[in-house]
Amino acid sequence: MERTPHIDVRNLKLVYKTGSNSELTALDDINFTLGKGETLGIVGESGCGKSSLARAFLSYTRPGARIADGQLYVSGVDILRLDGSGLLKYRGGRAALVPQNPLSSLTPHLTIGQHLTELIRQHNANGGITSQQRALDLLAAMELPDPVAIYKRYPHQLSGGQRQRVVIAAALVAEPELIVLDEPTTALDKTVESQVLLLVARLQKETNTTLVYVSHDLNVIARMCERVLVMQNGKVVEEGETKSVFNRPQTEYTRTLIAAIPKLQHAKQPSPVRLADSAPILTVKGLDFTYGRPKNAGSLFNVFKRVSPPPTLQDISLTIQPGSTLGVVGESGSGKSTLASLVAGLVDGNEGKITFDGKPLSGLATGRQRELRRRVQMIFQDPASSLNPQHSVEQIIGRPLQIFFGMTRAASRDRIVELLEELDLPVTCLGRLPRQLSGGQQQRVAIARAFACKPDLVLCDEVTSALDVTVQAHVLGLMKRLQREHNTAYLFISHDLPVVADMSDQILVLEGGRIRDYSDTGTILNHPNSPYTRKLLEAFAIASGHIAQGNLKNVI
Amino acid sequence: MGSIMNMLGRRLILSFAILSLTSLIVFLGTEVLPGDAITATIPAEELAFYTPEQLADLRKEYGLDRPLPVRFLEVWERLFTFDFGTTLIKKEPVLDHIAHPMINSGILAGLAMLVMLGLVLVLGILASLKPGGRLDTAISATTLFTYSMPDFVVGNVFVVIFAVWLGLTPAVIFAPTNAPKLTILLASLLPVAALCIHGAAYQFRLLRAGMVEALNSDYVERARLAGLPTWYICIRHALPVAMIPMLNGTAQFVAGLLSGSVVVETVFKYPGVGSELLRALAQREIPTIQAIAFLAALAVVTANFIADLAILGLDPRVRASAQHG
Repeated sequence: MERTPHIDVRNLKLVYKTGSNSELTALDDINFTLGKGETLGIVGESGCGKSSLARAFLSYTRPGARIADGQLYVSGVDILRLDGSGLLKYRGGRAALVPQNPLSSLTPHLTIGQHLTELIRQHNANGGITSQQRALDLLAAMELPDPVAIYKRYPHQLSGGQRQRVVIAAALVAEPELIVLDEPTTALDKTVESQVLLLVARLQKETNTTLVYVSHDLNVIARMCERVLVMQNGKVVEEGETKSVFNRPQTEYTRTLIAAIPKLQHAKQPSPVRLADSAPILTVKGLDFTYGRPKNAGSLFNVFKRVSPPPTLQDISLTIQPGSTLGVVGESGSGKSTLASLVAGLVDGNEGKITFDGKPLSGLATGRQRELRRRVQMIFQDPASSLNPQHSVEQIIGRPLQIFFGMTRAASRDRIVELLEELDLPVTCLGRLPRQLSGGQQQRVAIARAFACKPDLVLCDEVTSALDVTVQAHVLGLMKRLQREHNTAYLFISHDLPVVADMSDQILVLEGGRIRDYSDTGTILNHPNSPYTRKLLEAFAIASGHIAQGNLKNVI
Repeated sequence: MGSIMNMLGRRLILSFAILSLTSLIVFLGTEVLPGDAITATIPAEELAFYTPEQLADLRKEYGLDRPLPVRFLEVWERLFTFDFGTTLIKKEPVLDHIAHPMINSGILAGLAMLVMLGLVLVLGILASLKPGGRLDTAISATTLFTYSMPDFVVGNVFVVIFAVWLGLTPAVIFAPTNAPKLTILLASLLPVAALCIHGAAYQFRLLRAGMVEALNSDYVERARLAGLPTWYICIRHALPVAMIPMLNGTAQFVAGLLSGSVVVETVFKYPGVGSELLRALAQREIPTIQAIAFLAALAVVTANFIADLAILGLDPRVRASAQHG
């Protein structure tokens, strides 16, 4: 295999234009080879150049970037020198890319059938049958139920997993010899991810395709790839067989990456002390909620409206003790964010079924007393959109101090600096705008803003989902410390079971707006009640088992 | 599908309400404000010879003594049944007066629309292929310049260049309103160009922005990486999405055409409804004014309705949200 490498990357260098005569090196001196039918994983944190490298395999650079140096041979041809019709034949014909976000990667006004047939015609890939029949066969090969119905649908009418299968089908149209997958399951729920990975693994084996798999998720790479390439700042820091790299990492960076992965077995022990019978800070009893209830059904323009949508939450009851954490796990659409929005008062309609510190919380935050608004804070998933882009860090953190504690600007400054220190943020951040900070720093500013209020309950909605694993580990550690020091309760929402297990004293499992399981963390992990929780546990156990145990081959 | 019909039904009801409101405003403006139809129609020097009794008789004759709501309902009913009545003094059907100018103006506006859309599509796609490139800079700068020029300036500049200096076309159009339509079509070339220049600039900016965004999208990147040719991606993947903001602008362009054509028709002496409206206003020909105002409003409402239909056709997600109410 080593004698005639299928893929041979030599001295690859890619630069981004950052100004009229300044350039930033995104990929620097990349060298490696890959045999036919091998699977290579590329890992690294965001900004390490792995997406740029993925695109280079298709001789493509994003606008503003160019290949400054090097060759990339696929079956002996330097594909970086291809142009015109040769390039069109290569892309989608001999090599294909499966993009990260299947919804935004499918053209909204074209049906699934149109997406596939246009590629089949372009690459003359119908193999003696009609384009339509070939498209239907591909959809069936993706294990999609009812291909005929899917064929006629538009992208927005499919589920996330279905869309990802369609995008994979589109990549396989011309039976390429090389498939590059760029974070193909990042946008998917864990159980769906599991199924898609199995599908990709099966197709790869059947067709002996060379596979390049880009991901920030080391678990997925461990599961899918024989070889791995660890990247940092545009350079390869470690390369080799996945098993040996992950079991005996040679560089500090790889060790940090591996250590940062949340693992189920690291779940924190339930702390009965904190669950002691003090009065709960938050109680929810028999909460039902449906979006878009016909509030103004009588008005002229609603005469044509149909029946109301299905309930988003049904019969939700829970309690949170002061200073403890209740984790809420569920997949997209399970209603977990709606639950947080109801407690936060961003959505009206709790109907007096939510009580905070013994007093009922009114529906909308605007109807609550200032003191209550101070005591319940929320941190959102995307700090880039939850922090005012026009305000400096000092203004962002200072605002609650001025509103809730009547501090003057000068007086609040000391407190802001103190909060920055608590969150490991440098004081030099004070004058910066959110976009001048990294994602992890932005999220820490959002946490500082919440803690500036000295809250009793903080609602955390997927707060680390957008962060790299090492950054996530850091942020979660800080949150635990803040909780201990300030005796703050968390309602911690995430789709990521290991993260929730790591953070929570109790866990509530939501599916389709109903509680499937609700118990202390140890019980949920070891003796789950519902089949749904077991399925969820399995999906994560499969994913996180390998690196620790090193059993890569048995899974697929 | 049922809910899409519902949405369209709602749109139709809304259009109907807008037209009713327009007719109310026109009615109030022409018949109720100080100086009613009689005193407005009769020249001041003649008015001095009428006794109050004679005026009252006249008002009775024209039915102007009846309560306002009754008179409005009557006007409303006439307008909505396209029965525009007769002119006040000569008693000729209003329709005869405005039919030819209407058609002429329709030719002008329709041609302006077609030329504008064609121009905008070509320029918009070309400019978006390389945003910030030389072609884009040239087209964008030119359209910014023409966008900032009012219709009457463009019209006069055209007259000076094409008629006075180059002598290619007559400076003003002598064709009567009922001239053969081919003559009208030929005569409308300069006015069409003048009308387009302004509207095309705005539409171009909308389309270019839409195209640049669409071409930077993930789905266009995926299409490129799948080996589809650029021209195909532009037309099939990017253009339908990019056209949506432009179509809303196009509906506005129709409204702009109506006011723009009054100016342009005056500059070129074009035998259209704009000059007819000016004449009717000068002579206080109330039924004619009402008819033209109503038909103009109808044209704008129809244009908006067509734009909505086109957007529904282009974007299945809008169809879906229509289904959710």
